[in-house]
Amino acid sequence: MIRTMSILSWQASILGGALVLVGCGSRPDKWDETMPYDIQSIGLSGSVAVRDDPLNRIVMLTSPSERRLSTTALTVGRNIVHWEAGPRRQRLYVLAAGVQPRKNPDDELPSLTVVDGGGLGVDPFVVARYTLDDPPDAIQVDPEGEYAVVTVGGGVVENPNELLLVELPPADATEPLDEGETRLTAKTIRSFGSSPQAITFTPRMRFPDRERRLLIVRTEQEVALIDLEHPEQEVTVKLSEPLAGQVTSRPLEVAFHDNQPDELGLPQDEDRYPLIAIRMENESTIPFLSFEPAGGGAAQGAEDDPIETQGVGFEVTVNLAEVRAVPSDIDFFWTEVNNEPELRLAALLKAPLEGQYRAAMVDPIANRTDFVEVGASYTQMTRVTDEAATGARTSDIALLWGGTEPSVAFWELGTTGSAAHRSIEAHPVGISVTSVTAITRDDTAPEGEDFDYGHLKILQGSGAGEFYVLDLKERETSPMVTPDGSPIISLSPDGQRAWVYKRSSARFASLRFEDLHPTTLQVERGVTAVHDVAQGDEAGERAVFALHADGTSLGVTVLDATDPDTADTRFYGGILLGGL
Amino acid sequence: MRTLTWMAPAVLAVVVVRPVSAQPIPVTPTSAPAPAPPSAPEAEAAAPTAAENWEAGTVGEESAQTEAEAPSEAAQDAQVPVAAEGGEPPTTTEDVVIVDEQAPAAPPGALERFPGLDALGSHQSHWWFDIGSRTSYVNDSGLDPFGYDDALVQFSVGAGRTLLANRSLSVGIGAIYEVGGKSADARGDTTELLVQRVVLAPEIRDHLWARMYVFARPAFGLLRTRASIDESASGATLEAKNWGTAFDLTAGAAYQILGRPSGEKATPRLWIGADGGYGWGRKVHLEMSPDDDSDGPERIAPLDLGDLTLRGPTFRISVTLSY
Repeated sequence: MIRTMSILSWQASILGGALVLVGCGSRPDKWDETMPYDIQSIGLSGSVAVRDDPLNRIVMLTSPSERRLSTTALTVGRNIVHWEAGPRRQRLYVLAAGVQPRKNPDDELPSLTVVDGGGLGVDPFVVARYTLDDPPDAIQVDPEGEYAVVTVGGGVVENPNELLLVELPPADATEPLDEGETRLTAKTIRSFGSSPQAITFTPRMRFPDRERRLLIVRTEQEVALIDLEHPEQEVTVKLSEPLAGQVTSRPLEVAFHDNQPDELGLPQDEDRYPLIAIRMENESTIPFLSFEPAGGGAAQGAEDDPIETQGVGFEVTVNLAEVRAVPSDIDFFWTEVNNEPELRLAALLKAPLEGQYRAAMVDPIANRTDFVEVGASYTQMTRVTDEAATGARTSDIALLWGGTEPSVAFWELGTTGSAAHRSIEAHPVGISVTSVTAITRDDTAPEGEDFDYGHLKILQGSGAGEFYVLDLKERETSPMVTPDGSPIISLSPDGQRAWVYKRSSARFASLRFEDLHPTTLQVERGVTAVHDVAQGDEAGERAVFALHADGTSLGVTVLDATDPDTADTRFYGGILLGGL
Repeated sequence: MRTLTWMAPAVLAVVVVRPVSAQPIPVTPTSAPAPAPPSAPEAEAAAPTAAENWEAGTVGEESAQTEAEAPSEAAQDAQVPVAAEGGEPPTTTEDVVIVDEQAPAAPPGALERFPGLDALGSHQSHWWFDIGSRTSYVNDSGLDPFGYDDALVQFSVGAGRTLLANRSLSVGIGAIYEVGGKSADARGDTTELLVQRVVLAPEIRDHLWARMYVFARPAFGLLRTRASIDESASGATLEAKNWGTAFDLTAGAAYQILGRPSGEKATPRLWIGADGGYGWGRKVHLEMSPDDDSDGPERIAPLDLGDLTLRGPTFRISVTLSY
């Protein structure tokens, strides 16, 4: 037995040495990958997504409880070409080119990954992954979260008119979709020599044959209307000869309205169908699209007919409205005619008419245009009826802004008799407004109207050292001075506050909407981004993450978003080492 | 570290190859009467040197023959039982060998020879002190932040004493302290891992012949780890210090390279040894916290680098001084 032990001892020695020799493998490459130099982040409702391109992943930061931070690493495709948050800030959409060129069957294909940002006790997770054939270019996400359109490019042969129509997972999906459950349809729009330039999703609208949601695609020369549920059903409006009556003019904007007065509290009218208007580049003519039941008498199919329809059960009519000057913005608004609501297309005109800056009010039925003085060279308008009106209304209120004018104006659209009535209330501000940001709230917001600050809007100007909070109800503009220069404003998804910071500065501030009280905070490292996220699993609890990225690492200071105090913070370093 | 890793099997190969060809044969005294002893010059001429015996690969046989031919030398050097004048000769190999440190000194000019397995003397019973290098293969993801490979090399020192000896077998007890570590960078942040082990190591040995033995060694003790990272976002050094238990089971061999052939006296001997086996360490959690002198921001949260499990095949080479 002893001899046996001796032999075994020798064998053990030899084996041990051999194992040490052959077993000293190197560590995984991920530990040798440096951090991305410019660490990008996107704030979602319940988490913050941080891109970690070298490792083909996204690190999701969540706050499970007070001043705590946890990370969840989610693998996404290789070579991210684009990422963006959905309109509700609940989901993240990541386009990846995959391995290009593919040399082996295992090389990753291009993909679209949909990430749920979690929140209220739910951890972030990958909801769905769509495999694509060619590297994607861009994505446009439906504001209602039902669809997305992906465009592809970079191939030897490209079909620029091909759109990949993605049916997104349901908003309440709590489990990842299996590969067989993902739906993606390739759709090539009918083309007359041009390619898509912009995409717009409409809400569900009642057409003569049935309700539809439309995908409106603007090309250089046409506008295509595609039924999102039946992509084979398509209407193409040719905007060059003979419709425009002159050389090719690009469509710049599409405005639509369901033409139903239910938003004014009135019952729906079954004889009203949607209206679509198109603003053209350098054109004072605005084409109108109206829809009628099939057999309604619209002449279609003629050689010079600007309308091409495919598979739709209604007729489309195009009318042209002349507004005498090139408009800078168009939209539909309700006005009041003889105490009845009437829909009008408003067009803000770039150039003054007869020495006055005006807006054109087009009656899309009678094709008659009235002009209203707006008092200044405003270039943009936004419907603010719900936020600014008090009590029931039969007409809309618009906010006018933009241009060189250091003011904004409330435009109440009413009439006396058949003439357009103008009520312009200008509010001077110290900046030329270049952006108007709405305050929205998500599902994590505290319940109750007291916590709804939708009547506030943030007005910002280019390069200005101040911004304004516009109260639409009180019609007040409150200046917020930022001596350090033009700030970055990050709105909390629950709509209760804004975070104001300058990149690389250690100072930032919260602005509470309840009383417009700013609180300045100074942390111990330069801030590159600030994100407000839901904390824990109860609505109302919030954390704010101040990100510190220095090109080689990422740290985060976590504070209580509802009562921020720099004496009550927690610093987390080595964020991108998590999950390795 | 890589050099050490590659040197280790080379040393082991040297140790392994030669004994395999030597085929040691245990001394088996017979009950037959011993032949008449030759005179001293004859014995000197007939007895090969230890080196000659090694080259001939017949150390045991030659030693036995020489002892049989030269009982006086055998009594002096090898402590082989012989038929004492007027006494009963030993008849079996089961007799317990007692090292007689008071044996008469060798006559002038007598050659020293390696003793037989039943008379190992200080080859077997001694104090020892060793230093060496231990290399472990730790295939654990917890080690990845701290090293570019899976080898953990440690400096090793130990000391011990033979407690029991019975012919070629002996049992000893030793204590071993090992210290070593790794250093690397984790995505650009410098990291270090220091591993210390203190173990109590009983050792059972079997001498194949006087200057070589094999052994098995279980070891129990404590494991101390100190992991650190220079986290660049905070500018602070974050550390995780842990205690754990450790257990090893190894086996190996040692070969005497310096020292008197005779085991009669307690004299210094130098051995080289190698052993391999499996080392087990308790899993520790690397929750990296700032040290007290940190210059980083206030209230830095621990950085969780997961678990570290120092387990895996291990190999050790050592030089041992015995007395």
